[in-house]
Amino acid sequence: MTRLGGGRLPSPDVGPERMKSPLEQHKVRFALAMILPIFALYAVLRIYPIVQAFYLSLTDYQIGIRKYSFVGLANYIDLLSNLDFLVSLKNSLSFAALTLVFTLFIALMIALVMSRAAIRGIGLLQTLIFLPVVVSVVPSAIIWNWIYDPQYGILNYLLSLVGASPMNWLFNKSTALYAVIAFTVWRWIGYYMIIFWVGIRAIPETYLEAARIDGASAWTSVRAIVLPLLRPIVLLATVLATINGFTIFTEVYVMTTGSQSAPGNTLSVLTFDIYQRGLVFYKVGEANAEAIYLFLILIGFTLAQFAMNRRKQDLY
Amino acid sequence: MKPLRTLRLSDAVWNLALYILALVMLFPFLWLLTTSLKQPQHIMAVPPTILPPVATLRNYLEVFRKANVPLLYFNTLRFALVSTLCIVLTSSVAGYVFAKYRFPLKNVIFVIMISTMMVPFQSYMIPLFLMMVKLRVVDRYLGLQLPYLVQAMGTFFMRQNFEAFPDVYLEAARIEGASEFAIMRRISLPNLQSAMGGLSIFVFASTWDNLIWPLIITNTAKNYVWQLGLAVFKQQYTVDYGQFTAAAMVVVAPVILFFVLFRTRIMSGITLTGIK
Amino acid sequence: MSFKRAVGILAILVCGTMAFASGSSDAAATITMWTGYAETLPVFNAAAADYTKEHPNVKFEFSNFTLREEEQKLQIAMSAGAPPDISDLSSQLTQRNAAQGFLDPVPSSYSSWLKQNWEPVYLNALTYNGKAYGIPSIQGFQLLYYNLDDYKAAGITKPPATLNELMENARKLTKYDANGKVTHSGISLRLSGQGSGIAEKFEIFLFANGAAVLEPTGPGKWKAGFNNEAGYTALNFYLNALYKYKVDSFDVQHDEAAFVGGVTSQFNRETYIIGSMKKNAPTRTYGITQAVGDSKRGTNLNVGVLIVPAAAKNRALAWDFIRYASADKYCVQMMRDVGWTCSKKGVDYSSVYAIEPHFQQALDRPKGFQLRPAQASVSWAEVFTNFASALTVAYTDASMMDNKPKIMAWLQAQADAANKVLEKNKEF
Repeated sequence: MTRLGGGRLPSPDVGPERMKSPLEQHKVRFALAMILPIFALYAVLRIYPIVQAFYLSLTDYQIGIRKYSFVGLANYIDLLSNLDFLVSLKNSLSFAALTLVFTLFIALMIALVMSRAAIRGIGLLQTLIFLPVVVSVVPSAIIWNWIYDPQYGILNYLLSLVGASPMNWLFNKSTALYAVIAFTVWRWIGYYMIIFWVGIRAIPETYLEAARIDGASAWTSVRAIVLPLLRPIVLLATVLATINGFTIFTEVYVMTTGSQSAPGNTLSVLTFDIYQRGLVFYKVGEANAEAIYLFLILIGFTLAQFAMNRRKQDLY
Repeated sequence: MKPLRTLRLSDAVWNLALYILALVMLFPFLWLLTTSLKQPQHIMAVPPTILPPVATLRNYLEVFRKANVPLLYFNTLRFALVSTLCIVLTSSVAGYVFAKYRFPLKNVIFVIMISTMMVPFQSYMIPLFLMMVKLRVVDRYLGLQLPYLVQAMGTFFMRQNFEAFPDVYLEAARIEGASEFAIMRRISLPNLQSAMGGLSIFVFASTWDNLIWPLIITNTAKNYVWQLGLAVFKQQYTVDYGQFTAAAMVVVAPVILFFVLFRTRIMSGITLTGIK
Repeated sequence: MSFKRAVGILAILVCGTMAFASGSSDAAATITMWTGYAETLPVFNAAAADYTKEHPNVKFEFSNFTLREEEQKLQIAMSAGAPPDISDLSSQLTQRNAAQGFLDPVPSSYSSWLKQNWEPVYLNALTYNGKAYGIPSIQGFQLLYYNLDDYKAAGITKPPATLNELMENARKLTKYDANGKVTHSGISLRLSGQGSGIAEKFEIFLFANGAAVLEPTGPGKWKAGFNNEAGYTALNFYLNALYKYKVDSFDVQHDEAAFVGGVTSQFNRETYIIGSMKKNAPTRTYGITQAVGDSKRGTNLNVGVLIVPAAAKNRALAWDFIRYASADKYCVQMMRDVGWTCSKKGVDYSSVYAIEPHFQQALDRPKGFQLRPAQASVSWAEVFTNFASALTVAYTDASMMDNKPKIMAWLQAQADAANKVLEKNKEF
């Protein structure tokens, strides 16, 4: 497995696995010494509660009711025929897919352009683009609600200038999800821009110099050098974007609590349904079963992304 | 990245495109800002205006009057800074080890850590809270901070960034007899300052905005972080938008400051031009 | 790395302060109270200050959170055995928590005081197994607000009392643009939005004919109460409003923002609008009347309760303070400064009426006017939320208007769904 710019020198393995050289042993000891305390801390504070949460999904536990009993997979089976769950699942899939595509594409373009073209005031631009990430969701959502307002919103006003008809963006079933996606993409572009930017900045100048001397245009060197070297970062970004796309909660929640939002389950995503089940109806057993379904979906996607990444890498 | 010396048409186009994009990003924030400077009757006026007909600082005065701003800043800053420090440190070490070393159960441990990112926090926050009750750290700083010492996302982030770091440098140092610990401290970590800077910003921003855990673990007002302190502006029915947006401005200011300070870290991240 | 080092030192200093941060008071007792109504804190602070004058050893610690979050936090804290001394709680949850043993009953010495100062409808909401588990505090109920300037312009001289009159007025008050779209609604109905609000607002139209979303069938047992004539009338009112008479539309602004901004003439809401109007639209003249009705007139009643958890540390003292803070003068302050109405009987609000006569209109109820408290069912949240979700879809279906068989079938389907939820919670 060799990669342009770096790779592993063959390690001084002598003989079968078990007979490790002192250097190997020393490395393994160091690695374990560093990892185990960190992992132990994490295991106690996160993994153990998650295991407990999983156990609760096998019960009919409700907050505020003292007694609860083990019910096995009953919650899981009931969810499969539950309309709210199925609609939320469908919405989550569309939501995650679209948010991922738009956010990553735009963020990558921004990061590439900033690194390759002569841009003045990169610092200012990055601060402005990152701004939506740090402003609290609720005030941002209020403003976006006003932008989308059917009577007085800026969006409809701008559309009227070009003769398009006004729409009730958040209420209309066909536009509601896209309206919330636009809000979410606006919020998160800056985050992925930073991830890509950091990755691009780590690419040694020497390679790009060499390509330029050889007469490669900016975009050829991007395709041939930058993107391949960015592979681990792209994997990071797609996995994070997938996880974010499915676990996002506040952005969708606050856009739907206004009195102008879409009817029925149009905007219900999995995290919202989990929240409602667990913290509004107080049925934690059901909610956690739904969360485990979400978990399984995400594990599936993530493993697939890791596998695809590894295969592509072998082609080099 | 040396910019090309001659200004080309495509460069001008890119500049324009980026600045237009930045404006779109900025616009809602500007509207928030102007709302915070409006009087109540102008906020609820129909049709809504963007610029305040009459500007006022009254909303900001109310924010400072209703909320204990210094205390909220202190509590939130402590939580965010300590989280950032601990998480960046543990993530960097763990990410480095995952990327550059082989050891038994490595993949299993890594997969377990990553999978925890896929369970929504609200699902396991009750068992976590019960643990804190048993440890008797409810409504204490320690109870707030404990779950935010290590983070799977951070570890994943640093691991991916370390993967691109050439092994050559590590091997060279080993041949010279340096210990693994020294290699990590002198070579690996310093070269990933960019990534650590980026991670710092993410952790700082997300802990600054964290509501759900502080809500469950904090009881008394003197321990509130900002997101809890905003409750006094977020009433169920009448939201005073002027005060609420003014409070949002006050809350976001330090994060912007942190970003600006750390962005130079990212910008000045050392790009490798050769073996040190 | 010096920047990092500086930050590191700062962090250590900051952590060091955590040793000092958790101070404990020297008072004989500190009463902790959580509330989801931040706006009521000034009143409780005043009561606490007065109480401390009479009991110098008692300190108070008030914490406020947003309403929904406070409820969740309280439930989790009570389940974990780490609750505050006092909290507010909705009446729907009071009985459920009492049944689970999470609440301390009101001291029996208070029972005559309770009966003297509160109507039975308030006390029933928080009685379980013959014992009271909370003291009623503020109350929420829907009123009909109407814009007087619009009324005058349309030549309407008195507020409506029946559903038909409500619709008649709305028709005279609605304004349209050149394309026939509504620009100013005659009535602002709650047509969309998350949560259970839509169903709660719809229920007011059910009350107009004596029905409700859930009807009791026995102790702790309920059934759906809207798959009947009253349900048909209510849903048809909405559909007629939207599609036949076009007095409201999905595309106009709704609710408080619309009334304050002057783009609607009539709508239903609680008393807090009085304060909002004073602050945001002080020049607009408006009137308040009770919710309209046909065979019956009534409105919903949300009884705010102050409870003391069973695991609280200072229970006796907590009850004493709640009783103290229920004094008439604090009720007057609550109405005058905050805008919430206490549920206590016989409080003299004339000083407040002199400043703000709208409050008098709000409490002026005709004889026989019904106050319908929220049903104390465990399934309340789920039934109402699901019904609300279904209603928002129904409102978009113009074909159901005046179509009795279709509406009745739809109502039956929703009733079946609601009953299923009740069944699952063993409440059917």
